[in-house]
Parts: sequence; structure tokens; C-alpha cells
Amino acid sequence: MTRNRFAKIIYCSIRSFLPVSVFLGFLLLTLSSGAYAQSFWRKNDRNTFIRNIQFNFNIPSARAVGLGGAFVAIADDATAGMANPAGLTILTKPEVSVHYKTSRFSHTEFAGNEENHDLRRRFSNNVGSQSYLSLVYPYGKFSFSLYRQELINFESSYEGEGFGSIFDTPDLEPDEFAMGNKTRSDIEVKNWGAAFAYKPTRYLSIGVSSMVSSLEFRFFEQLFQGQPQAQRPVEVFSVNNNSSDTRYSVNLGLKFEPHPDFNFGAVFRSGPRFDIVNTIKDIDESSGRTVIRQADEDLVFKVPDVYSLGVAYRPLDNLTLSLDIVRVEYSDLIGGLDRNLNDDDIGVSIPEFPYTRFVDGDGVEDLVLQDGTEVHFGVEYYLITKKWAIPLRAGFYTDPSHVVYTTVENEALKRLFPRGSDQVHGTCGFGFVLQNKIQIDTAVNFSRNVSEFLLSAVFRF
Amino acid sequence: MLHKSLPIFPILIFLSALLSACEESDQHSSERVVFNVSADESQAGFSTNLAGNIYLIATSGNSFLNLENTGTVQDSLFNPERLEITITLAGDLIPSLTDNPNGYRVNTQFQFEGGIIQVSHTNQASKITNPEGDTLYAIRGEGMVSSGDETFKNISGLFYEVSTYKISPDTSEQSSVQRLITKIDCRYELIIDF
Repeated sequence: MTRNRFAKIIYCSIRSFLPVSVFLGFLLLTLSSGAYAQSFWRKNDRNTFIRNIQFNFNIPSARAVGLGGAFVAIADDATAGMANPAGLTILTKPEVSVHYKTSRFSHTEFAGNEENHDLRRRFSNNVGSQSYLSLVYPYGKFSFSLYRQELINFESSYEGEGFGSIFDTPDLEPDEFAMGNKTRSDIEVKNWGAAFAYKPTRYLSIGVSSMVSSLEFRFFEQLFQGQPQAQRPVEVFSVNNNSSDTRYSVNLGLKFEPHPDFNFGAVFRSGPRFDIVNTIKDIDESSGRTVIRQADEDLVFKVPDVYSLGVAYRPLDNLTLSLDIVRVEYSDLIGGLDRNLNDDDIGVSIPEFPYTRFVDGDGVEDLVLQDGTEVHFGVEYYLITKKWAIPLRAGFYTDPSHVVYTTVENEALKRLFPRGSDQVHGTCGFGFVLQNKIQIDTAVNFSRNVSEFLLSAVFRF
Repeated sequence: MLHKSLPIFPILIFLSALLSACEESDQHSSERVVFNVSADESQAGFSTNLAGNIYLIATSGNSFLNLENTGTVQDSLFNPERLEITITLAGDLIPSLTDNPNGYRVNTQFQFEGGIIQVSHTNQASKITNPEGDTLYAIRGEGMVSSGDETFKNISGLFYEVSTYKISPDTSEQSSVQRLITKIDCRYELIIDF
């Protein structure tokens, strides 16, 4: 058996979520008996792309982020079309707003070597772009808004030569540890939205926002025999995804103001459901000649739905407290995928043709991505001078882990799909308001894995 | 002045949104071919043969079932005429199927009116007993299309198999201790990109 083939079996066994004990048994068999190298491809390869995707769905304005993202009950500026369309009715003059955001996302990957199997390396990626652009036009009890929003702008890239260390076993030789992998993700979802709001009573506003959502999905993963930095790395396996799709989605909002100092808000944001295609390539040299097998597989990428409830209280004219509870259905991301791993399945007899079937042994889903409930809290204090009004903001929000993890009791699988940890984000920001016509805001959002800087400008006419 | 000209902005942005909506999505198209096979040793055309560490099963067109109800594309190119299954054994037949935790290696060849499609795949087997007390082997396989000829010369695609094998002792005089696959009930699915 060639070394390439051997490394590929290691890698693809991981990718197929094979329990390590099973894999090692096979490894011993192949080494000792010179048995054939099996075809590695398994249907669970479809899940690999989702492992690297993590993102949040914060409201894109600096003011909202400075408030810890607690903005559903406030929603009183040009970002309301996305944050809570019902909030548009509070505006009495046309507004234009522009928002810019830079983000830094960090993650940890296995990069072990013979001396230290548990060695890990931390990778970071930066993205920066115009995150939101909107125009609001109020007309009596009605209000209209058009906007462009960058719902997802995610990049991740890393490469390493210690992928084999995930097995954490002394049986692997240096070449197996040195197996290289190279992964790139670049995912963008943009919304073009038109929002409409109406205030039927003094206390109640309702709003709806209809969006055209476009996806640009780029994912590329290669496995090399040897280090990817080598002059002639030998590619043995790759998954490539270069998909575009356009779908519709909707935001529904409600705002209730029983008292001038009390606001309540509720929002539902539907996530678009996109079609994407993975191209899987297998390069097999076990027969002495190069055989390339390639196949396309249709998949679904569903942006999570979001439900929000918020309350805002103004104890002083220049002080506002805001609290949101946000439910994010992260499980939507893997809802269209096969979450069952083959290896704990058992055969059963059925009455229908072909009379037998494999079913999950314990009935528990093997890959899990849990929905998350976030708590957002923020404070806004206006420092008033003769010429300026300077808003100061601070807040925080909880960010429950939303990574795909495995429930299978197997150390190698747990290394590949570990449970994530919950995080708390701290936020703060400030701005200035000039004659109630121009408002400039900035904010920062920081946590262990994510840091963001936002700059917003609002022009009122 | 600016206030009066504002309505032009919504129109421009709305037109941009419309253009974005009209973008063609990059959709992938493929043919899905599903068919069932049921064959046993009593049928003409069904044969099994053990040669070294290769186990061969072959059956002909009269074993294909209910083609109109299985989702097969309505194209005569995909009318199945012959099935050949080649299993690479690591030892005796039953342990090779059931005791290899990563499954066993199989090459399956489908002969259609339009030509031949070959698939290299990995199967898993599990021994079970049905309510009637028969010992059966549940089979599950998946893989990628290896090659084709004639109409299917430049195809690629995915393959899924769910099957049931019945394995019985060989009662022939030549090898009385050898077990043979005496009945197969198989559902095959090919998702083919041309």
C-alpha cells in the first residue's frame, strides 16, 4: 500500500467520523496483512464544511452593538428595517445611514507532532466591509425603508501538517503526523430589503420587511501527503464548493409603547434556505496508476431563524436601559444534513423490500448543533453640552456555544467535533449628535473568539 | 432641495434589489436513477462464483423489479440489462462481510441499454434474523462512480445501495463447506452528473 493511500485512509476515516478504535483495528489489519485499501468516500463527508462555520447575527449598527445588541425595543433609527421594522414609525424625517464593520474571528485547530500530540494552533481571520446601508422615508402613520445588509461575512483559513495527531496514538509514524491539510472558507450573505411600517394606534406599531438574500459560498479543503508548504505537495483528496444562490426571506416586527418611558418589541427574522453543491475529488494511486474519482453532491445551507423579545426603560431623560432575549435556531444550519454517523448503526429486519435496513443504534443524533438563547443588555447615557449631545454606551450579551459537536463516545471524534464553550461578549461605544442632523457612532465588541469594530453615520433631513 | 429629490433614491435602490433578485442561481443538475433487483439461485441468469479472494455475483434483466415505481428516470438508456457484483474478500465469505469494521470493498457494474456504469464502493454488513427465523445480512453501501462507456463515458456521480443477502451452505459436491450467497434483494440509487 502506498504511503499516500495510507494517509488518505487516516484522513478520510476521520472525515467519515469513524470511531478511532475501529480505525486502528483496520490500520493494524492493513499493515499486518497487506490487505487492500478500501474506497474511502462516505456520505458523511457532506458535513465537513459545516464544521468551520461560526457566526453571529448581531444588528449591524454601532449604536446597537454598543448597547450589547439590545435594540429590539428601541429600534428608533434607520437600522430598524432590519432590527425591528415596526420601529420605523418613530421617525418623523427621512434618514440615510451608512455602517462599516471590521471583524476578527479566531479558532483553534489540531497541529500535533510526535513530541506533543495535543499541540494546537490558533488561527485568525479579519474581514471588513460596509455592513449596512439604508434609507427611511416616513409618511404620516406609515414609514418605508430600503436597505442593503451584509447578514454574513465570514472568512476562515488555516493550514497545517499535524492533522494525523488527532488520533493521539503512538502507532502513527512521522509521515502520518505530517499529513497536511489546507482549508479556506469565504461565505457572504447579502440582503436587499424593503421595509414597511404602520402605526394603527397610539401605542402600537407593526412592520414587515421583505428581503432578497444572495449567497456567495466558497469552501475549499485539500488533503496533502506531506506538508502543504512543500514545493510539490501531493494532493490526495479535496472538497470544493463554489456556489451562488438567491432566495427570499422576511422580518416581522412589533413595537408596543404603553408609556413614554417603556417600550416593548418583538421580532421574527426568517433565514433564507440556499442550495449549494460540494464537489468531492479522490485521487487513488493504490493500483499503480492515478485514478481520479469525482462527484457532485447537492446540499442545503439554511441561515438560522431568529426570534427576539425586548424591553427598554428610560428612568431619566438622558438614560436608557435595554434588555433583549434572543432565540437563534442554529440547528437550522445542519437541518438539511444527514446527522447520523454510520458506525453506531445496526441492521434490522423490515417488511418492505429490500427487507433489511440500517438504523441508528441508540436513537440519539450523532451530530448536534444546539439552538441558543442569548441575553442582551445595554445602557445608553447622553452627555449633553451646549453644542453637542454625546451618547455613551456599554453592554454585554451571552453567546451560547453554537458549534457542531458529536455525541458519540469516541476520543478521536470528540477531538474533531468538540463541544464549544459559552462566551460572554462585552461591548461599549460612544458617538456624537450634531444639531440632531448628523449622528456618528462607534462601538467595539470583544470576546475570546470574536472582536469587532463598528462605525456608523446617520444623516437626517 | 435634497428633501424633494429623496424619492429618487428609493427607486434606484429598489431597482438594484430587483436586479439582484434576477440573478441566476448556480444550480446543479443531475439524473437520479433508482432500481430494484431481486434474484436467487432458482432463477436462470443468477450465478455466483468464488475465485481466489474475489466473489462474483451476476444476474440478468429478468431480476429487475417494478422499474416504473422506483423513481428511475424515464429514459430507455437506463433500462437495466445486467448486474455484476465483485466483492473483494479478506478471508472467508461471512467474516469478510461482517467482521471488517470499516466494511468491505465492492465493485458493482450495471449494464444498461446506454452502456456500462462501474462503481467502486464500500459496503457494510450486519447479520440479523427476521421474524420468520431466517438468517439474513443487511447490506449498506456508498461510493462514487468509477467509469462508464458508450453513453456514460464521461460521467461522474454518487452511489447508494441498500440490500439484503441470504447466505447458505454450498451443497454441491465440489466444496461442501463453502457458503454461498443464494439470494439478493437490492435497491440501488445512482445520482449521475453528465
